[in-house]
Amino acid sequence: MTAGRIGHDLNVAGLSKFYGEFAALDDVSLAVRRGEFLTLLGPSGSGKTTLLMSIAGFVQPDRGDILLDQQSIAHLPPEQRNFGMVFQGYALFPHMTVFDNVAFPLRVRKRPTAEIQDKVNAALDLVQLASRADRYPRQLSGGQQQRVALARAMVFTPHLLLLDEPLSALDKNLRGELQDELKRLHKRVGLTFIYVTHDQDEALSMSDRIAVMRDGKIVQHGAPSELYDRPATRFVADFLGRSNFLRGTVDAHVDGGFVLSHQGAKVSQAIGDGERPPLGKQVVVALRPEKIAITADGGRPDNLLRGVIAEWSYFGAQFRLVVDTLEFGAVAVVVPAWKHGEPPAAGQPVAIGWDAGAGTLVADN
Amino acid sequence: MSAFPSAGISIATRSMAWLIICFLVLPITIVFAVSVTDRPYLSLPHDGLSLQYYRSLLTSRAWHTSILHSLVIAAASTAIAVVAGTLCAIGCWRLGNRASNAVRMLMLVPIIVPTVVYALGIYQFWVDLKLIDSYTGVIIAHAVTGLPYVVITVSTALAGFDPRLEQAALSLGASMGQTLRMVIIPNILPGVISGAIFAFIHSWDELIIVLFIAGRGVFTLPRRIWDGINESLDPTMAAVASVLVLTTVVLLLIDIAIRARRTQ
Ligand SMILES: Nc1ncnc2c1ncn2[C@@H]1O[C@H](COP(=O)(O)OP(=O)(O)OP(=O)(O)O)[C@@H](O)[C@H]1O
Ligand SMILES: [Mg+2]
Repeated sequence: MTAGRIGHDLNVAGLSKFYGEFAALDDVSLAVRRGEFLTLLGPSGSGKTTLLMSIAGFVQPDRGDILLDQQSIAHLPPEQRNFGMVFQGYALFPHMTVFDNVAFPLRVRKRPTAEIQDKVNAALDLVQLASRADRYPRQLSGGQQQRVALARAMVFTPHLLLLDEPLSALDKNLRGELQDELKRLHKRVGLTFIYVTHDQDEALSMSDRIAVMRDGKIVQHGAPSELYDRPATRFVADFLGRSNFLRGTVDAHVDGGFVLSHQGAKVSQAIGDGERPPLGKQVVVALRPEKIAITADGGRPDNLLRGVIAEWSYFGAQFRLVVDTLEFGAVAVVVPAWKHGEPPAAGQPVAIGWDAGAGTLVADN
Repeated sequence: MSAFPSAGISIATRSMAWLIICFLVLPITIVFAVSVTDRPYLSLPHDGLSLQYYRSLLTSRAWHTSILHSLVIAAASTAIAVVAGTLCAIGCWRLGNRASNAVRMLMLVPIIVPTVVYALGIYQFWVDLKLIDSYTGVIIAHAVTGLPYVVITVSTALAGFDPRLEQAALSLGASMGQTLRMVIIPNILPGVISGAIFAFIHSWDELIIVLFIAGRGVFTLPRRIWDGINESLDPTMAAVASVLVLTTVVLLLIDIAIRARRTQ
């Protein structure tokens, strides 16, 4: 094994897994870089666990290859892959103390006792559980169990750390805390993390890169901001954050963009380095609610629509409004509360505006 | 586990239950009563209680030999049944497919088929193998017929075992052998012990197979009771039977205690 170096890269090449006719993984390719925090994000049943389990060696893919540092590992059984894994529900050994749980991977590797002592204590220190070493898993809280699982999966300096929804069983506050902790831990130890979640906030805040999965395929991958700002499809725009979708036909080409028309409304939409869609084509533009402003706030946006406030709710930092427009129906708008001054009122007429660069042209699937 | 709603149980059902319990327990209590009789033949105590037959049991060489035979046979056959049955149950559990279900069903054959039929089969087989009236013969026969108990209890324990623990062990670098030894077995140990206790009891009081395949060489405790009843009416037999029952009860109580600890 390549010892002495922390963090390895992993390549998944054309991986497919069939259960009967059903493709749980459909030609998945993915490059995970050394030391990176990569998140697999997708709705339930999209194949995240199947992909992770294929990498771990518990699922035998029908096609494709998995390479660690350019070497195929597809033929190796799980116990020879040297990947740390944190399971959903932790899978701590109930008959062993915290210490013995964390010592397990070292004991099966027949490490000397003194080394086991040192490494386990260091790992427990890392997750701040040194004082609980003699407890049994059932005597720990969910968050503590989670941290034991983490220490156990890292204590033997694995090539990769695989985490399958490790925080999904915890309540919201604890989850936020552990998210921060996990991120710090990742920075500190420099291991390559592959993290599965279906929580978009978690994915956005923790990852270096996100791969969005759907129906056994990776539909888009990239840095969180890249995915959020330039979703490729309507699905990604909707799954990662919230979005309005403006449908219409391409009415005219203008410099650096096009004009979308729908029921008499004309909306200018910038196009980055991509191709302008042909004239007359039906297109969808995704528009984030927070990129829309109530225009009484000032400025002269590229696009302006009139409507009435149908609903609103207050979230402390922001107001979330639904504005009924004649041309595009209900449009969600999020405005910072401090900017809005007095609370909005239902039925109040407003003008909403956004710039041509605010929306993103997305594929309609 | 849910408690029975007591209001839903009618008086009739309760009486029935008690009647059945009495029916089950009475023969055993009669054996105890007879064992302390003061008469020279098998009967209930008449003028007083006496422990003379327990005393004669303690001093009789014949009974001692039989108890020893029974213990050795039960211990050896239990060891075989536990190892084979546990491995079989784990193997079936790991495969988890239809074939493994069939194997598990097949394992139950010794308790489904009438013992007489089974004993006859073993007899034929043992004649060919020259195992008649040998320790080995009885031990193997009892191991095979004790196997189902182990398979059942271990399979039940495995049904409650989180398969992710096995995956976790493997992902942490444990070989299959280490996983078995350090993770799977310790977690299903109560089931294994239960199975061992049942297999032991099974051999401890098994008579029919012994009647077929053993003669004078291997003389187990139930066999001596059987012969004793046919030949004489010595109340020592009742004392022996009481010891037999007590041993079984103690083993069952141990089993219950282990189960209770597991559900804690
Ligand atoms: N052993 C199996 N046999 C048959 N189908 C399976 C098996 N394992 C997974 N699948 C199917 O493959 C698909 C992907 O499952 P997977 O567990 O990878 O989803 P997931 O993205 O992890 O979902 P979740 O967020 O709910 O955990 C699902 O439709 C599932 O039903
Ligand atoms: Mg999953």
